[in-house]
Amino acid sequence: MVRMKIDKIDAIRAITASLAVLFFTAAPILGFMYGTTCAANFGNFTLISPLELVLVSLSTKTMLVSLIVPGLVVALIIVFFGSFFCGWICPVGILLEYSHAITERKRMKGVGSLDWIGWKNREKYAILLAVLASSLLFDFAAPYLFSPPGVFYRTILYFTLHGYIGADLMIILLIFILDLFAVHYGRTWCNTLCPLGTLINSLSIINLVKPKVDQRKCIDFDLNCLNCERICPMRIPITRFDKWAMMDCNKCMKCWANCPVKAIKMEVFDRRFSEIINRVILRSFSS
Amino acid sequence: MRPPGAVNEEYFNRLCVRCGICLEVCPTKAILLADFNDGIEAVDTPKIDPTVGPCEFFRGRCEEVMRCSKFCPTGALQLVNKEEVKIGTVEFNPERCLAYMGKECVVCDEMCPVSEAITITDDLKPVFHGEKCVGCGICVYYCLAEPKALTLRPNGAKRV
Repeated sequence: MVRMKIDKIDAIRAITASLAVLFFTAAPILGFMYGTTCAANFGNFTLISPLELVLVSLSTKTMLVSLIVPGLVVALIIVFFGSFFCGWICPVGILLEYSHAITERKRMKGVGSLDWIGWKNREKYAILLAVLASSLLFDFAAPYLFSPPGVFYRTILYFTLHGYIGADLMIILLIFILDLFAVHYGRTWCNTLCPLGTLINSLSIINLVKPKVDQRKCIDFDLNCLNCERICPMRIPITRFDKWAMMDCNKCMKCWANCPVKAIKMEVFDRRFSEIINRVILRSFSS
Repeated sequence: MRPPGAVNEEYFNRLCVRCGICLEVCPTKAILLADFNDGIEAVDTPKIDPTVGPCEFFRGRCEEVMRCSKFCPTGALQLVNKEEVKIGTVEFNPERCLAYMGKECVVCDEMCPVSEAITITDDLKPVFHGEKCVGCGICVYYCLAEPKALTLRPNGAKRV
């Protein structure tokens, strides 16, 4: 069993997440950006988180015209770069990783075994569908409350503005308590429950950046190493080339840092995508 | 109480994405987040508590338009004309009012941005006219009585 531990790459990701927190705190004071990760206003243009856009469209049963372009921009970024946000910016996810590193030893043994690989993380899609259905059926605020980065940034915003701690802190604590008691390995909230993360994962269709195992170097066949699959916070079967499971990749680079034989590369353009680009460029030149 | 320009209550809870932009752009930091006491369906939506801070739009301390409505990304707060805005109505409790206790106090009338919402009788006692009141809460904020003689209620609020 491999324990979660803090590598150099995790420290770098913690720094980027802290910088994001600093940005969201300082920007409204300087006046060039307002809002949180739910929706942000940069003066001339707005960006909106895909979960919030879907929820507001479903619960009001209308398509808000002013939000189509901001929603498309964010969705396109996600389609190309995947759940980069979860691994490098989401403060709740990073905090969960650190809390795991501290509590892992005391938690149940054998959790890091690979029997969960067959699940392919499908249970979280059921939860996302339930959340979407609840916003369609009820006048219900819960889906907004379980978008963790939004909750986190709202807490910070409310505290810096008024010095109060609102209802949100309770939800962050709930997320951490749920995570502490969970049986799954890795970032349990993120790979089993998070509705925002699941929506981002299911949107990351092209997913340019992802880890790729060099089969000639990999020692799994001889020694049953599978360090990368055990360390992966999102429970992705990295050594098997599962395109659908790879959509969950947070680009956290833990597998890359923990491979004993350096068989994993972070591949930026995969062959399929470069072929498409080549074909388009060649066709446009030849015609 | 909702900020000025709010759509009707049920639609508001569905339309608001809890982004917190209205809290940040409010020039007097008058907007707070609703908590579990305000109902589970309204958690984290914006509300105005006049004892913490009144809406200063009617006194001209906001911009030409209401900033919270101008920046709202989903239109849960909508831009409406100043004449059509009514956040709520002030309820007056004469038993707590200093003027009715025989002291000299007309703070509410001095601060009120709306003409004729509060009138002063000949013996210096305030009289409230609910139909003229816009519900900005400035009189509640400045009321010297302890506990306050004025409370802001959402009755009669004009919602888009």
